[in-house]
Amino acid sequence: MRRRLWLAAAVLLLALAAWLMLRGGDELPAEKTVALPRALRPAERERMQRRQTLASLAHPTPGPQRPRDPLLAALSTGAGKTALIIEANAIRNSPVGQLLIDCLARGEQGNPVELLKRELNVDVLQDLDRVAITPRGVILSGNFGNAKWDQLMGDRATSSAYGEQGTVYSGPQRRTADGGSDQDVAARWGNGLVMLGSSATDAHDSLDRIEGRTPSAPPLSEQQTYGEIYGVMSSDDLARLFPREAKDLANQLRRVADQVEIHVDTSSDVGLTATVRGSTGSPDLEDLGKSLGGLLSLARLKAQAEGDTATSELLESARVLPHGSSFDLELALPLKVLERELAWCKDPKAHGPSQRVPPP
Amino acid sequence: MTRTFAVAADLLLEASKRKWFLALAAAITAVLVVLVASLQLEVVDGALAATRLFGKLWRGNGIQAADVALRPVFEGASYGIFYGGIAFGIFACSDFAPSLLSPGRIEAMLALPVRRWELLAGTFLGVLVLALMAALYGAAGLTLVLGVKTGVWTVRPLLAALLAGLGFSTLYAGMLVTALFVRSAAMCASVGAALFGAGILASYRAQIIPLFEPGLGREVFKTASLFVPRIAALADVAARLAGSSKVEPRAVASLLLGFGVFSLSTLAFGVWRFEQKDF
Repeated sequence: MRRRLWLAAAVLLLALAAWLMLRGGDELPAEKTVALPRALRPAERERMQRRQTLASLAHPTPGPQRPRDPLLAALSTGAGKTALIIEANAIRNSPVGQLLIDCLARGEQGNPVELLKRELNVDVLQDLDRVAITPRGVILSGNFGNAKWDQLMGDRATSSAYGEQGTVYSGPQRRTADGGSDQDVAARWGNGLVMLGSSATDAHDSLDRIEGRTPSAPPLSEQQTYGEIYGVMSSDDLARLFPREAKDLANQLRRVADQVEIHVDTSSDVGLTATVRGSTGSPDLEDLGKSLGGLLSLARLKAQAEGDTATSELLESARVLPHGSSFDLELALPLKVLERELAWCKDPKAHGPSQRVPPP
Repeated sequence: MTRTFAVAADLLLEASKRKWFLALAAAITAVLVVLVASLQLEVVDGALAATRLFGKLWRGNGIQAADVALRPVFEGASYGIFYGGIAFGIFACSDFAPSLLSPGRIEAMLALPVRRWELLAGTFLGVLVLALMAALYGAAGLTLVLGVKTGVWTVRPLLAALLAGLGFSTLYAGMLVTALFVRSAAMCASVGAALFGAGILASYRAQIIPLFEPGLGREVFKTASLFVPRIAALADVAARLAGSSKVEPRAVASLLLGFGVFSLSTLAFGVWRFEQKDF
């Protein structure tokens, strides 16, 4: 009898073990890594080719050839410039974009998307494709055929045709605090490109570059248009964004780096790569990489100590990859962290991040 | 219960006299000493900036927080301890049970005031402690070396080593029961190795099942793989723990319980067989 009890126990325990292992083994989630933008992917290459709408010039100027993408052609020419392009439409159709739209809709000034639609007849969720930010102004690409341009510039603006498809709208001159003057200027190229700035000359220059009257060699090539946010920043412009505590690092960046190329992927999670290229010898640049790596490590420890989980998780994957005359900085933020941090946008009772109840 | 521990202690004493285990201890120590002497880690503000092994610069994952940079190292070490330890354990421990059951010795043991199930449980416990000691020695040594060199202190590799011991215990339970049917070290090692391989396959059953054509073969695999300890799944959990990756606590608890219950089930089956045998 006792022997049979051992056998019965063995069979019962085996069945229990099978059930427990099935439950445990099947529920183990696969390790997920955040995709980082490193080169054009097939969909992005297709997107790039679709945007090559400018015809090749009949009499090309010597030197680098004008990009066939009008938005890239409109960008200021030359190295050491800053230009950041946001793929608004691609972001809007990503999970991150939906989160941001939810947050925009909760703004204290009302929903800016609705405001633009009402005032200018521009639905940024449908009509806007890309936004390029440069120190000289903003360039928007998309479909603006139904936009009410007169409403944008007001009654006192003047408009004049420029080149083959250009129209420049100039607002009245304003005095600035330093005794100079400026004005609001908007330029339109066909119905697909709008440039907003403060100089009619800049607007004319951009239209000239698009229509091939002056050479165009933008700081960003068509091969570099991968990710949902991409562009180049001069080290000077980037150093200005550093917090006061990182003043030494900002100065080091100005001294040894020329330009920083940035790519952000938001197609599922958020992954960022920044390539820092230097002008001086590689030891200085390597020191900068080490300083940056150390700073990120310290910032993570600080965030952990302060219980700032979002920053801590963002910095967890931060790393610097030295490549001799350049180095890459990589950052990744899983979507679930963003969803957790921006959950207040979907909560009808919440009013903003500051009013969230801290976790117990 | 005291008698079970006495049997386990007796087995450990016997293991300490074997050259296999002395060689294992010496090999783990040698690896750790080589690491101490040849590994140079440059840490800047908590970030691992450069790694040199035998004087050669190794870029690896670039410059990043030292604890994050060391995760793949701990993960790799965890897999090494897990799979290497189990493979070594299968062959090194294969003759414990056959020698316990050898003519003359088993009669002497049964003449002592010790019950048969206690004898079996004691042997199992002794081997489990032996496996845990080896795994913990390797993991603790590695943690100590990297902790001193980088300032990163973590007990996670030790947890991973405990899981390696648990993984081996299920296989050894099968080997122990095999000895009760066929008193052969080679057979015990073969069953251990077969269970090891089957356990790896069972861990990927969800991916393997669709590879079978619908029919008897698929159903047989589907059913049989349910009852085999998922060794590779446990190895993954151990590596994730060692590498500070997130694990689903409920799933891990269920898997660990499953391994423990599997060992108990196999031992119960062994006791049933042991009680039947005449010596």
